[in-house]
Amino acid sequence: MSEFNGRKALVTGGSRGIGRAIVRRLASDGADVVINYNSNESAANEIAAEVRGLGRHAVIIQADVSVQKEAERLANESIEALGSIDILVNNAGIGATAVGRPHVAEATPEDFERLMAAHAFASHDLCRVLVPQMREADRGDIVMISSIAAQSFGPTGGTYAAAKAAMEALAFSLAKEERGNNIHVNIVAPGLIETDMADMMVKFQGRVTDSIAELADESPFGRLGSPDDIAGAVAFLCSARASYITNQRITVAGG
Amino acid sequence: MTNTLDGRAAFVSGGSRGIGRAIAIGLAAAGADVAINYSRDTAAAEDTVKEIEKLGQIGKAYQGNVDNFSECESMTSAAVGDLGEISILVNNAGIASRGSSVTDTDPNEIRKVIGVHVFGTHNLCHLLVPQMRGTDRGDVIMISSGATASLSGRGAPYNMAKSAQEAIAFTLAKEERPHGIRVNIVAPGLVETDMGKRLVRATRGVEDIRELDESSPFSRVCQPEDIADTVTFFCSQDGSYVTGQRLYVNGGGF
Repeated sequence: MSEFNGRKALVTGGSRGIGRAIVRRLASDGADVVINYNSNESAANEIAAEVRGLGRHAVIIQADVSVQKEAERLANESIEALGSIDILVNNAGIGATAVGRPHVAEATPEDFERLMAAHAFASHDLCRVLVPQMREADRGDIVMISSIAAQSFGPTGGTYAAAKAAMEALAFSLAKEERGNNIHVNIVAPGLIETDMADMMVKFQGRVTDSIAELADESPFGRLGSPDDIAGAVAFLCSARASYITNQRITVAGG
Repeated sequence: MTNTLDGRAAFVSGGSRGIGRAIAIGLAAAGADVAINYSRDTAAAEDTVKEIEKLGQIGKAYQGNVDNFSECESMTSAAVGDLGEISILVNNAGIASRGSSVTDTDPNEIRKVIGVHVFGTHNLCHLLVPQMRGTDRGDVIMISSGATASLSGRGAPYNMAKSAQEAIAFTLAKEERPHGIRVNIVAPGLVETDMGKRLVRATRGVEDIRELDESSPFSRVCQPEDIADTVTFFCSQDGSYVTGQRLYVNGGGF
């Protein structure tokens, strides 16, 4: 497929998990890709090599997007590396469990600040730098990887859910502001997906003993969501098939 | 290609014209055989079947009213006989309401509009979902409307019908998930169809719907193919973990 030939994407948190599947899918459909990572350089190099194997340009850029200056640097270096960016996937994120105190009452102001920065402020910083040059492209796409947490608001993870809710609000507002510039802004909200982050979460919640894979049988359609399920929704939203779709959220959670 | 619908058979209600026609052709282009239902326009139905056949797929058309259960029985059993197991059902057939305020609406109009959208949808689900449980994967798609978000005045029968149709979808999605059946909703805004043209003439005095291009999202009125592409996405491998969802295809709304 060559649906995304000539398009240039930045995927934050693209070295592992959902981000990695999104990078692979955009590249196999023809896009050149900047892969942002924070700590795992070897994972970033692996997926970059895979993208190059598909005949596409791949650039890896280290940045902690939750730090404003680093997010801005990432956006500027991405433009330099590929000439322009017309697909932005705000995927980088951290779970409340990783931060340490998932209950609202126990979470410290610093915990909450960190989650808001990673999801909401980072998305804003990247959009702020990238949207102006995206207006020059034939078409621009911004996809926010949110979470069903911003709809279900279950116990534990309230600070994470609040950060995702803020990120979604940013998306819905931006969609209206930039429609006139042919920039599409949409949200993909995954449910439980088989990734390291989700593995950590379900272990914390005591739902499994060894691995998230134990939950497959009781999951929708008898399987956990896979990163490829999310990549499929992202690819659809950025494609010509979705050229009349903006300001929408697709939940990919098996219902 | 991972997103092919090869080997699958679809039933599209109201498939002779407008959005239903584009859906039927879109599913055929992705590799499905397609049965369409139509109520009046035989020539249009035959034309849609020809387009399906041009794509190398089996196309069939069945006349009947979806709000009539025995006609649905005849149509669905003929479709299963001609195409084999139906694993995709698109509930697209619909009629518009007349633009009266709630207080001025004739009770019979409400019954009629709900008959097509709600009872028609239930009739086809009742008849086709059980056999769908035996297939590798089933998909039921409801073509709803942006009306379920706006619930504007002078549209009560249509608003009520589409809301109830969506309620069937959200419920059915939960019931049939263990059987591998996905149920999703595509909700278009204004689309360039005969119904859309009549709507803007009646409500806004616009004779040529394309006059609205400039003031529309992305500077164009939505086309039936935009809706068809979303239906095909839901039924494809890319949509395999998506169920119980509603997607508005309306360019972000007005």
